[in-house]
Amino acid sequence: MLDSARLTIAARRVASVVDDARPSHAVDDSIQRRDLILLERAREGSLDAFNDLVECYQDQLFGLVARMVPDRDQAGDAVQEAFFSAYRNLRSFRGGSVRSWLSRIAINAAMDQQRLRKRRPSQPYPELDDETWQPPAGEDADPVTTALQGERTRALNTALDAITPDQRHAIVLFDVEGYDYAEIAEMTGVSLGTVKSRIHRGRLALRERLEGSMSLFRGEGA
Amino acid sequence: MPETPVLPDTAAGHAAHDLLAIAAYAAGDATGDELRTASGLAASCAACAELHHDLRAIARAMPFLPAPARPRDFRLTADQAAALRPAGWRRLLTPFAGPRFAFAAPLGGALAALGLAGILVAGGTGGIVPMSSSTAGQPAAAPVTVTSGSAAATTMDDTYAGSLEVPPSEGPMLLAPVASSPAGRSSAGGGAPATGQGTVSSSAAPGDARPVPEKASGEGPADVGPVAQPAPAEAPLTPEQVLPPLAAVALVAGLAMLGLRWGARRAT
Repeated sequence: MLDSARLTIAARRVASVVDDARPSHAVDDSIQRRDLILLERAREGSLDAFNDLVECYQDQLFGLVARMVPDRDQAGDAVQEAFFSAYRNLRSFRGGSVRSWLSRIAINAAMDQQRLRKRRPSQPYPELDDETWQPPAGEDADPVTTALQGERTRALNTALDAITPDQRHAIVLFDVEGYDYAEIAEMTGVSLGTVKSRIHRGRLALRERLEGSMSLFRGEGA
Repeated sequence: MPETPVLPDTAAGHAAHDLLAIAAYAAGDATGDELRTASGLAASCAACAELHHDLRAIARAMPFLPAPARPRDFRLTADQAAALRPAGWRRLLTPFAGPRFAFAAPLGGALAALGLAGILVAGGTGGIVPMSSSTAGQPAAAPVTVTSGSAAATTMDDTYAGSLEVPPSEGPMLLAPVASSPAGRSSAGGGAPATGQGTVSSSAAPGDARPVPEKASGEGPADVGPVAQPAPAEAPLTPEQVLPPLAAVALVAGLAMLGLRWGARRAT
């Protein structure tokens, strides 16, 4: 069984104005090598190799898409469609990061789902009260910390859902998924300046929506 | 470095401050004047300082958002994989959908555009010209004098050049533009200055393209002067002769590449 890519992401911190707690995506040769081997075997017709790739990235891709497509069912459909598309287009992989390639396909699938949702609106954001959004409590977590983290998560998710999709996508890709500006620009097909602008404006919008609950975050020193 | 103005710490003053600069500063993206402005605001305005602090706190909290639980397994079943795998003619098209054939779309588009432009240009300069090299590069024919045996002599502009006898070496001829171009004239005139005992002298009018039959046909034998002299075979091709076939080839090739790429991408 292959390790999940998410688990192998090192916690590299980049010194900047904001302490960067995002997962790092420094090129990990072993992961990249593993991905390329699996991809090559999948190209040769091995379904098992492709499913190994799916297993490595399905959690991460669902996490990404679920924050872009508010409906969990639609997010699941988008991720499934993304893997279908990846399987159909194995030969279109041009090298580079397999993770980025899959993420790009998933983002496109998510955008397609959103377009579909605009044409056929459903009940918006039904999963906001879903308990699956709550962070898992660690063994040494005390109830207060757990409750505080739950409150923060709820507040952030509510605020994220209230900002524009473009800003949400950029913030999720940058702050949560840990892609850098250039990668986000390539994935979303906009300029670097636009990515930065969306992130800055999105954070301002988040702060505006979190006005009443900023006390949950202000005590956070880390 | 210019001195940062100290701004009043009032709500009205803060509303006029550059909040985007503060956001860029909090993200570490501010440079130059923006950095000076933002750092000055953060130092002099309490609300800006609080905003800066809050934005940093939000950015710090974002990575700790828990990942939504995956509702199902997304691994592909053998049936799904079989359905997704291209088969038959789609399999043949698969290589053309890949990145190695990505050049096909721009190249095909460019070729098609060039071909279309070439055909339009060729049309504008007198239509399709003969491809026969035997008539190429010849100077414009002199006024042709034709003697017709039974029928009244007519000008070349009015009728087919029925009395002209084309040598077999000429081969099949295309539409012959009796046009202003030298090639057009030479095809009608057999490529050499023609003189004869005709009763009527004629000269081809510019832009008048007429089909020329391969063999003389008409009401009877016609006296043919030295009109149908074969041209030297080694005569070089003129641009007017080369352009139409090249343009046609480019157009066909470009459209084929575009179609192949489009079909392959649709099929896979």
